Amino acid sequence: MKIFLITLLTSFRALAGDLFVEEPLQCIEKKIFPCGVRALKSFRMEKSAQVFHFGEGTTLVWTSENQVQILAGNLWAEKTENLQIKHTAHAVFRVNGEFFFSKQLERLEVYNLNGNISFPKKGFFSNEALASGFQNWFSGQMQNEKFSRGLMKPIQFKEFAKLWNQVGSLPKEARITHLRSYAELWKDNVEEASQFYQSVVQRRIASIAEAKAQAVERVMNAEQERLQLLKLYRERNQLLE
Amino acid sequence: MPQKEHVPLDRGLSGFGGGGGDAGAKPRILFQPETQARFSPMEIRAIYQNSLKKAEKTGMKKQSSLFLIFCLALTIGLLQAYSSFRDYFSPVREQARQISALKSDVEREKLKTTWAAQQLVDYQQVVAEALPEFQKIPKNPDTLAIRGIASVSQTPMSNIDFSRGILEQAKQSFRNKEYSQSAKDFKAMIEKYPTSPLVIESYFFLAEGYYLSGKHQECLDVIEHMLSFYPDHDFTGYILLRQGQILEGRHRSEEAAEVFATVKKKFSYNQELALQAGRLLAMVQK
Repeated sequence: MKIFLITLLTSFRALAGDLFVEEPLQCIEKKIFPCGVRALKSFRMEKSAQVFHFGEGTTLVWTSENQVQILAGNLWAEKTENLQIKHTAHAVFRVNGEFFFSKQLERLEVYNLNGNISFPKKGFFSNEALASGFQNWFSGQMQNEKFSRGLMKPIQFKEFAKLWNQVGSLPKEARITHLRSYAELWKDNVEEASQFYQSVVQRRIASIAEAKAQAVERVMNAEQERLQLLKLYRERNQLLE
Repeated sequence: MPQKEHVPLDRGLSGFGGGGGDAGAKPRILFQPETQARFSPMEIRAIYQNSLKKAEKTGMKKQSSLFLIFCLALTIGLLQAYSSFRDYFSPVREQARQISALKSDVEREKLKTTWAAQQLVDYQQVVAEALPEFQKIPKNPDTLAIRGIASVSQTPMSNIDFSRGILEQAKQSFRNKEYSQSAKDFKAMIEKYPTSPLVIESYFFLAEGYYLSGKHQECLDVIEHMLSFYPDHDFTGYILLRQGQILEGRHRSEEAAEVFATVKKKFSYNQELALQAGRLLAMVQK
């Protein structure tokens, strides 16, 4: 019996070694930060109060016990409690609940499955939001002091399911149950989104009209200034007809 | 003589504790005196031998099953040991271990590379944030490098100003006396980058090109435009000298002298320009 147990434990340890690589070595176990992890296979990891599901190739760094920076791949954060997602050097999201992240090149796509997220002031609008059942992408580079981003939209179920299926180690039945519960949870999102888009379009129309008026005023001012300068020049140089 | 009672064998066996009872126990040979009295010695021997055979049979069965278990365990043990030793000394095992270690190293390297790339992006962002006052950086040759970094990190790709490149290309054509080509390039530059600080220079060379290629009317049109938009610029002063020369060429010496005098007076802070205007004025007045 003892021999059987020892064999089982050794096999499990070997299996854990096959799931991911760490940098520096054993940093998760010894709580050394920053701690980089790259998943070799899909697996589930429970760390403090957080539950993560990695996909193959998912790479992330724990910069501290409660802060994660996703470098590449897909990550399903099934359970988060006041987790910080480091987007760039000075931009950190705070999340609570269930989220899915997909990092491709410099773009981080955030899916709010069932939780809440707060954005930092720097690089984001004061009313920046991502409601439950919605997704949006954020670029890693700032332009005009704001991160480039997409337009918040309801989670595209088929695309999401495809990505989500690649992470974790849930059995088929559990996955189906999960997806059904998501579909039920997000069923009203299309209607909410249409209202949201309507308000965005109205705001944009208003801002375009305002910009046009400003441009006309600018041109008029410039013309006025130009005529004044010309008149002044001619007066000063006695070039008046 | 009392008649001997005939007792069936199985009844008699119960007295030995054998038969259907304790099969493993060795049969006791002691007989009760009454039993001895009831059975004849021959019968007792037969009973004894019978029970002895039965006991031997059951004992053998047990022994043989124990032996079988032992053999099985031994075989498994030997197989296990053989397998372990074979793997231990096998080069395949060592190679498999090395491959596994290499794979792990590759994955670790990938992790390090991704991490380093992210750190680079973060660093770029930090630099961009550390240079927010791009406009306040003094524009002189000493700050060229820092302005380069700031413009790359802060300016969207679509807004990058390539006007200097186009201007240089047009000036090259001008120096090669390809005035029609240079005029095209200067016009393209003005059209594409109307807000560039290099536009005034383009207008100047455009007018100069027209003058040198004998297109005086086009030259005067450009001078008129420069007068309207950049009346105080030195380039306008220089090109006004050409206006004076055109007027002189058209035998309107008085107007030409007036232009030279105006340039001399207005751009008196520019010694070279004032000197040239004075010289041309003197020549007209002769």
